Amino acid sequence: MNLVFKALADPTRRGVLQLLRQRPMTAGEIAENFAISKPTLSAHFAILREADLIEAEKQGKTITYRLKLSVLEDALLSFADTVGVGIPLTGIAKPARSRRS
Amino acid sequence: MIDRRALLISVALLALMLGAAAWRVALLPDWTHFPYYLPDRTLVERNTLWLLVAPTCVAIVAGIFARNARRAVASPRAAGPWTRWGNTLLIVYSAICTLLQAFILARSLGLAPAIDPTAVGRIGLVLLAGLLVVSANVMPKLPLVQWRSKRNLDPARLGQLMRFSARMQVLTGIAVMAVAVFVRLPVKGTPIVFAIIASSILVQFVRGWQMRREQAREHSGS
Repeated sequence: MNLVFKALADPTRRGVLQLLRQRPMTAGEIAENFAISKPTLSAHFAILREADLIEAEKQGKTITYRLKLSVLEDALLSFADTVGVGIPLTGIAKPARSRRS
Repeated sequence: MIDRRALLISVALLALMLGAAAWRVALLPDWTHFPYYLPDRTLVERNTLWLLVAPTCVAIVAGIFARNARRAVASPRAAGPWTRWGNTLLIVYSAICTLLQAFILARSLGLAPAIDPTAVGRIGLVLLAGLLVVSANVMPKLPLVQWRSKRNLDPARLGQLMRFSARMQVLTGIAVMAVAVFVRLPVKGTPIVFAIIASSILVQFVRGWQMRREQAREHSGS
């Protein structure tokens, strides 16, 4: 349970989980919604996988992530988002130039 | 999904319940009613059909699990977690129903006079509802499986429906537990429990139907 709390404590990781609520996504599709580097995002994925909140499925060269929240964890996520500070999900891909800067 | 071992255990418990009920009824002059001792040692007559309630519940649940095991299309990697989940759920459920049946038969024989049957009913209901809450809570963590059906949902919608169903079942379990603890059983509580369970099943069914219709519209539109 400590791993779950640690995973849900970070707004970026909560943002990833909120995205995956819509549908399973590849790492690239998730990355488009966050203005952080891919290695940093990979670290977040690792924490979420360690907490067993997401599942990764390799299909060829791409990895597709699927949400794996129990009802209690889902409720904790909603509570953390309501009380904590979340990342607004614009759903708009950031241009490569602005990401690099 | 369940494996053969869990099915055999639940069938064995089912046979035990039916055998014990048949044995009790065979000892009676009138097979349509059996004696039942209330806590104040008053003897009342109960319809023999009550002895079939627990076995019927186990038979229905075991049948549903066995049917789902045949209909599911799952890789061995996906089937494993579902089988473990189904086995635990079915065996614990069958055991609780067997204990309740044993209590009814014990009361019929005049045994365990000090135990309040309403309290046993409440405890049984709380245990069953708690089993529902615990099993539904982990359901969304299990791998997605499809069915031998032409109307399967895509993975995105299937995941959403599974999460929705799990939430509904957890809420149903919590509501039933609350009724078992706070409402007078069986007069007022039993219809409320049935209404809660029926509403939950209906809502889940409607949500699944809505999602299939949305998917069909998307496919026909594209």
